[in-house]
Amino acid sequence: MNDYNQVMERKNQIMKDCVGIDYDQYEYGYHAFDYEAMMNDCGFTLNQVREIQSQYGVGSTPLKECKNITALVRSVSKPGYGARIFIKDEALNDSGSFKARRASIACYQAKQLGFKGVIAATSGNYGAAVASQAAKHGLKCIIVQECYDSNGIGQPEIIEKARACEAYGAEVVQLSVGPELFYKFLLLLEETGYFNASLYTPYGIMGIESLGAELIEDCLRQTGKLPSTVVCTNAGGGNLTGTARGIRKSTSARIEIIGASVNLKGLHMASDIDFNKKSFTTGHTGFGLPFMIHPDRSDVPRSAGRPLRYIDRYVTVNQGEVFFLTCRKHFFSGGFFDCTRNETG
Amino acid sequence: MIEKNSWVQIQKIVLEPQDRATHLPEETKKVPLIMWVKGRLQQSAELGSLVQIKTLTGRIESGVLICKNPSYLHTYGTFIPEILEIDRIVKNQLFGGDSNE
Repeated sequence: MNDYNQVMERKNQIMKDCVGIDYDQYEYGYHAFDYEAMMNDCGFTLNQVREIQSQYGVGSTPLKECKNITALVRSVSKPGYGARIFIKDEALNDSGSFKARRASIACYQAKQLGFKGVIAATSGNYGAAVASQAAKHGLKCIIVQECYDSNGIGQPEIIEKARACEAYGAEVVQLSVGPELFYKFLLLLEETGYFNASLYTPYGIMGIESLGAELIEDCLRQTGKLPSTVVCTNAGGGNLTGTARGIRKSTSARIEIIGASVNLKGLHMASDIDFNKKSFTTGHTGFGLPFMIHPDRSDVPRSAGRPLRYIDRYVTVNQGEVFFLTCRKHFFSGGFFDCTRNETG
Repeated sequence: MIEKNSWVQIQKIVLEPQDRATHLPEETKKVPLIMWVKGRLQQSAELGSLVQIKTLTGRIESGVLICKNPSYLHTYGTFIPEILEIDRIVKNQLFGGDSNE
């Protein structure tokens, strides 16, 4: 009763039990579902999200102007082009990434609903974020990672996240390459009855709306203007969706939303060989494109991360281009990117 | 012999190649899905033997005992000299490089 296909057939029931949301109620007509109703029903306003986050070491990160990057861009731009570039230093959240925003609401909700623990399937920053927030709430925590190829050769960034998760007191279940990680994830949810701290529930997305709201406030305070464009790293679509929603809740002005991903063309996400050729565990097109086209491929029946509702433009950069900038991170801004933290999910 | 209650790591095959999902790349299809978990050893045992462990959340998992006191030994690889070239390019572009004395 626990072979691969049998477990996958139980997916919807397992999910209903472990996120506290009956997704069926939002389905209507032939093939539609009411996204805004699902978001509104989750029970948190933007102000409540910000209040919870302020109590748990999350949010209110500084917006930093990248003067050298702006100067470098202007040195190759047409006259009159080359925007002032700022970065929201999300590495200063507890656990070191913007993912703490998502984990803070997911773990808060798990505690409210009376769950004893949380589980998240993640190889990157989200694991550390959930482990950190779970520790604050006294929730048990299991992080499920795709970590090694079949020869046991691990991605150092993912092993480093395992170390961080364990330092926060979480159990880490590590797997070799393959989409059947989801199979083990479902078995663990069934076995433990823990809350699915998915990145893609309404909680996981609402937690990011504070980022969009802060961006607007920071920009107005520091420059007297609204941003003309906001660039969001795009993988599963949550960062872009949540940031854009937070912006829309804060201003009626039209602000261009650009998604940016590292182009991993030619590297298959489920390949045991390609796994260790990827220098990025997320923020790349291997997630960005499939999740944009079909967001409900995520670990909940209906993903709350839906970038096509908000994105104006999608740009890609290659791995080398990112290394070019990140290698000079301290030189540019003292915190533009941190190779050990921001490029992992 | 590794003593009962030692902190250990086990390895287990979760899905044999024939039991894996369809639509996998060939190189993934022919290898099993493997799991690694840490916990307290439930009975004293030799490395390489089949054992049970109790994980941090209190779950019982079974698998092959591969390590006592598993450590973090990952590295970020050898130095890449091209990084020095990036430094030179960027400083030249922004501040004039050697002429900026």
